[in-house]
Amino acid sequence: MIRSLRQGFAEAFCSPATVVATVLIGAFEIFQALAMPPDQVVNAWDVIIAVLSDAKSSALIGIIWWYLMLVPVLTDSARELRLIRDGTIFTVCVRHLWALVGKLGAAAAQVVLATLGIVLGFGYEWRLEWSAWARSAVADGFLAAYSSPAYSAQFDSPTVLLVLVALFSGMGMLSTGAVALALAVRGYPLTAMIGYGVFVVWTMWSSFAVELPTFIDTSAVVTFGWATLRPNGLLAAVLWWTVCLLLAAGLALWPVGTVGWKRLVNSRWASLSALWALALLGILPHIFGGSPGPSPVLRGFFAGPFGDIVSYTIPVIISIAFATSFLARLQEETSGYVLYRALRAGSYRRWIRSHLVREITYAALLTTGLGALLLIMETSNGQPLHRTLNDPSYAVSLVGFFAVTIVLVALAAGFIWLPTPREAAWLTAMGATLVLGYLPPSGTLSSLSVLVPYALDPGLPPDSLPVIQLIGTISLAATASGVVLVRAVPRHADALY
Amino acid sequence: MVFALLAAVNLTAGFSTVGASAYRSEAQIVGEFMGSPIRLLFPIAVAIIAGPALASELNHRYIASTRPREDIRSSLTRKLGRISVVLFLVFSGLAAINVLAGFYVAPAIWPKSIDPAGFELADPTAITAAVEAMAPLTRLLTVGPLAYLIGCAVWMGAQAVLFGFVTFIAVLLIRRSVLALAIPLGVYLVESIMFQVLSLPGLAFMSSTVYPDGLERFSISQAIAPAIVLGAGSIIAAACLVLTARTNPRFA
Repeated sequence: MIRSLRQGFAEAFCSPATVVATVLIGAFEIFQALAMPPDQVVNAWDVIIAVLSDAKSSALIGIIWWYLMLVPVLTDSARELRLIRDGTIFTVCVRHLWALVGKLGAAAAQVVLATLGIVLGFGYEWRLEWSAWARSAVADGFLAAYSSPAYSAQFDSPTVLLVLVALFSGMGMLSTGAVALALAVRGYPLTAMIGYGVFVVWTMWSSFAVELPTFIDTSAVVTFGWATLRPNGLLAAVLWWTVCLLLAAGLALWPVGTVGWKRLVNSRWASLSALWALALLGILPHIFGGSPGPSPVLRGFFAGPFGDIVSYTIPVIISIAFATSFLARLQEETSGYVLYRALRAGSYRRWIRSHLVREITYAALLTTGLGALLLIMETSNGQPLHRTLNDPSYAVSLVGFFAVTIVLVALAAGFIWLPTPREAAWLTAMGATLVLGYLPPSGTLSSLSVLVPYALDPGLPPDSLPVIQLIGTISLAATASGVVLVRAVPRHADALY
Repeated sequence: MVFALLAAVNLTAGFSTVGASAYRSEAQIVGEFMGSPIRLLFPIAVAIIAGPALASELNHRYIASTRPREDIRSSLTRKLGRISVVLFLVFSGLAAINVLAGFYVAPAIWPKSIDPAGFELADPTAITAAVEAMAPLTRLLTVGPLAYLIGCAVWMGAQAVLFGFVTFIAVLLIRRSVLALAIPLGVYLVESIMFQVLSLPGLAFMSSTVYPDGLERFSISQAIAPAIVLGAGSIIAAACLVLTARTNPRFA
């Protein structure tokens, strides 16, 4: 570790790229010093903070320098030798990461040295506190982005701010670079280099204060000042780091030779993960713009036909996708092996029952994961955990979602016994589910909306729950499963072949 | 049958909504008819028209069996062409029915449903500007109602053809036909959800594919961008599949 760190430091400190980047930042500091108001009492921090917290230092000069440091690592010609020596991809990645930390340290050291020279050369007073100008400008209401007055109201000490700025940029560069690094060590250096190059160009482009949604503004991932200016910018940055580090760890730890598209797509966990990811996509808009009242994330996600069309679609499409993947598996089995499977199970009924039991288990797992996601997001949104757990709509909505999924699973299982083309029948069922759920019966017939029993009407009091609809859906799920089991007899088996 | 079902569902939902609401102009009623059921059903309807027959022919080795008497490239091209024509005709017809119902039939049945004063819009120019900002295709009304009808029909027909290409590619690439036929719906919904989350609803298929409408400011370039990307990608992919069909084991 120490050796890699030292090696990285030495390489970067002597690199012309680091020297050029430091010279550019130094030049910005000189311009900043010359532009300071002459009639005000300023100090070194006013110059340093204005330049180093600016997006042009981290998301423009910094990211280009970082890419130049990363490319030799990604295209390392001794990759096989390192793998032989270190044994695992993960160890090689960690060793490279320490070297990269050393490189970041070298750049920081050069910038500190250059900055010291410049501020001392200009004769600035060096104290570990904000200048009178920084504080008075706040009082006057003058707040320029990236300037020390903009930060002095939030941070008591400029040193803490500078450390945060440096750590933030370093974390952003290391976490995103770790993905490219893991990809390169895994054997895809060209993909890693081109992919990270695209990321760098996008970051540079978004650093020009372009109006972009926060979650795709990658300049906020490496620039502390810009992240604090954007709505939810800090949260977006932390999410980016977490996702990148998890992805890098996954790439580095996943055993070689087991990653294949077919295997991945067919795996049960992959489809469950994709459905949870879809649920997360559906939850995100409700974190920041949730409805007022208790459990806004839950109520936004399970708004059903009472919300907008996209919000309505997400829970329905998760259930439909789950049932579709089940039907696809059944279809493959019935195309050639069904008789053998039925013989092994003992009868057609036992065979389909084993499938139903398995799907119900996985549907419960899907619902539990969704519940956990909602719980985490509700808690991170500021609602205490016990309040979410004590909210009866939480349990009712999740049970409703589970029941709808079972209804669709039973429907899919029933379709294989019908002598009609399954594909067209299933597509029609999907369309009917989507439309009937979106246009549920209203008034006295509202209790018949069994396809969206989880939908929470914002017009009703929070303690008013769709219990009748839920009971209806559970009954429908039980009946549909029963019908499938009754239907699973040899005299109906012709449709299976 | 798909055409009749879609038209019936859409007209029923459209008329039941229009009778109980007020609108700025006839063009806004057309937007209502192009609304919810068809927006949800569009990719499913495209898949039902474009996919099952092709999937069945592939799975039952019909296409492989006909190779000795017909070149696979021309066979696939002919099928793709036929699917495209059928989709274009079905969805153009559906759009034309919606425009006729929204522009002429509904205002004739419920004359009070058009109430610009209720929106504080007395000036006809302001009404036109307000509707044009939400639904860019209404600019064709400056040429005439027929141009608007043709514009809406071509728009929906062309979008259906693009999704038909997606269905064609999915059926050729994915052996499990149930999964393959769900791909257009997946593409349509996941893209819409993603752009909604990214606060760019104008780029969502759900906002623009059937009829660009529903946002406060909706430019034609924003509405057409997702179709261009999908169109370019799917046409190139379909061309690659057709060109490599002679050596593709899927047709062996």
